[in-house]
Amino acid sequence: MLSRGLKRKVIDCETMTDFSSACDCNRNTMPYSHQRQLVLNMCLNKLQNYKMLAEPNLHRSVLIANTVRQIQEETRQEANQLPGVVTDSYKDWNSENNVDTLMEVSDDDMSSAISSILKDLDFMEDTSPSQIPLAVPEDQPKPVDGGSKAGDKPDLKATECMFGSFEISSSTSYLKDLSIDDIFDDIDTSMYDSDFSFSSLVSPRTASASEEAQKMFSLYLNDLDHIMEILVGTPPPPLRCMFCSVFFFVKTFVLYGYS
Amino acid sequence: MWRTLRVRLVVLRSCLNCICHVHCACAVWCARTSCVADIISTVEFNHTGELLATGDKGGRVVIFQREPEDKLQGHVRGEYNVYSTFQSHEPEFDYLKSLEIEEKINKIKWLPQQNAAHSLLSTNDKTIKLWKISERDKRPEGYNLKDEEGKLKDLSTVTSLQVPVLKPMDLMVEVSPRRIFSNGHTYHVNSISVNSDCETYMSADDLRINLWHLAITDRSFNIVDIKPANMEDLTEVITAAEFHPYHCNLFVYSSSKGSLRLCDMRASALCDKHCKLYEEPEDPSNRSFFSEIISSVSDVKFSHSGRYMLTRDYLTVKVWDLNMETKPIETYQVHDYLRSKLCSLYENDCIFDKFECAWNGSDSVIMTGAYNNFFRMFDRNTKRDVTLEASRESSKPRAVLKPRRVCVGGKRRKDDISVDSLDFTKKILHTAWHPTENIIAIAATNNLYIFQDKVNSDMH
Repeated sequence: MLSRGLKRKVIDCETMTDFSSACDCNRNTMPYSHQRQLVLNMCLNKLQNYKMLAEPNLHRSVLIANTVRQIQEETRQEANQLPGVVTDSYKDWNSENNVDTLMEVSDDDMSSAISSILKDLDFMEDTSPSQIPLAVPEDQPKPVDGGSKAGDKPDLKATECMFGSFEISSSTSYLKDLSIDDIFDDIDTSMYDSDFSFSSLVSPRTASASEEAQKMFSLYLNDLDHIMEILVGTPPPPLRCMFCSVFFFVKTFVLYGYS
Repeated sequence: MWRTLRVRLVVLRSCLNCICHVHCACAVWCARTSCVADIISTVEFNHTGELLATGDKGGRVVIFQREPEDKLQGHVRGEYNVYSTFQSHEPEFDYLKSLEIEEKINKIKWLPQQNAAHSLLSTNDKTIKLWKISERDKRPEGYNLKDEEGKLKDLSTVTSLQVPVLKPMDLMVEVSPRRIFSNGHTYHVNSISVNSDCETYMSADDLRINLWHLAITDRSFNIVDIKPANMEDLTEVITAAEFHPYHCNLFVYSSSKGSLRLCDMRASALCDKHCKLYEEPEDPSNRSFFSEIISSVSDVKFSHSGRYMLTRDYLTVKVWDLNMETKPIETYQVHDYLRSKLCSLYENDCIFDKFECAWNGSDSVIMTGAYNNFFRMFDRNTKRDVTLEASRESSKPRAVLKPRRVCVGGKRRKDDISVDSLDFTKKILHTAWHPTENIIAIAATNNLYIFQDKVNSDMH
């Protein structure tokens, strides 16, 4: 287990109750790839929850999306490198914890999540008749009219985007020609198959493994409830992105239930 | 000098829609509960410093006026009292987009005073309003055709002509909406800035900056537009914008990637191409997943001299020389001890907090807020810095503020506070400095604190 042989102040870990604190707390000891996975999961969660906000905040979503992009880029670069070029600490840590592969959400998932979020923003904001730049030469200032006029280009584009997100297969290949199993294949949940669990980071002093399992179980039950809430109360456009997170959670939940 | 700041006045807002001016605050503080609508969202002194305006999440604007010197012998000059309060914005609902538009006041800017009346611009996410604040202490009496209540008289009773006269009455502060600049923004307005020509102003949202004439509400000119053709390519947003204090053609805007762009409106009407780009290369030793998020600029302010720019990002404040684009001339750490806590701060969304920053009147000291109701001041000449706390315990009228210290390592002195016990729900995002004197206004959630420098006040 991760906690083995680690000096850690009891007080720190008692006050910290979430994965992120564990990440802060174990910054020097936790393998980089696992830190990265924690951050990525948080990002995807935030992007997903964001859809339920009454007041979308573009600034925040762009920052989160960029963080996902950065992680995505890193993962891609690593994938291009020769296998076997892994840092020692990572290997050691893996062997200790029986983790064979990286736990990663696939590239496509990330891309589709980002683009769906940003596109939805476009849809929400730009179908408004309020800001209509008139067709003027590039060098001229664009007068912004108070009233509404129809038929300019940005609006048409926004409409296309809107329909684009209704049609699942149109923009990305995600879900297009995959069976359900393929989708699950895409999402690596090996982290949950292993002995390693986040609760071990959070409460290293917990006595038995079964207690931990129960804890995690109820945690994922909560997640599932949460997802059902989202599914029931959400309009069609965000569904595509929702799918990847839902499958991700459902599968981890099921696996954990059996293990 | 600022180590001996004095509390001169504590003012608080209550949930009951009334404003209290409290000299000895404690009893009142405890008696009233706070609500979200009372959270102060902006603070701004006018150009003389005689007036101070605050806006809150409930769409209200409260204006404080400094007591004149000769009035009330017992009172020391410098106390601000409520002058006027009015509802600037109301919650709206956009039926087409099914979106709520919050009434929260994002920014207030005073216009230079042109006549006896004062004017200010206030904005929420979408709509900017121009308000006129005027005083009236006389009223006309003795009209020929109207009676006291303004009703038309029966003409048969009018037998003689009289000259109406002005009679003195109790001072009344009138606030009236003069202009409403709507439909100019698709995204959320984050800044407004009045031009030094006193005729125009600009408003910036996440992706565009518009230029308005103060007298014309039905059209604006789009001077910056960074919206990509395809929203999927969007990686950067505008976070703040401001006009140069003297050169009416220059303005600066900051971005979520940590850069500043100075634009010259003489170059072209659409300033998509900046004339200067201020950017500091990232320090590889401090690189983390959150590097970009913490480098996002939350506020930019020109110095009064117009020579420097002050920017605030999540962990630092930086002073830039307009003549040097490659790096800031000064960088001050606001709360570097949070660098190891970024992951938690990301999870609880604190990392997206937008702290503002302020210059003092002589551009020698800068001020910015932090967590736990702390705010920081940095002296640019002596390089000394101080952490002060805006709290009711330490802010009894005329008490001297004690410097606070956050301890990072094991060594903990008396009165030190440890990083782990900082309260991240108490944050000071909005601060303002009097344009000429050492008086500062600090907004700590729903409380407004006004502190005055001791040295300064003794001179008066």
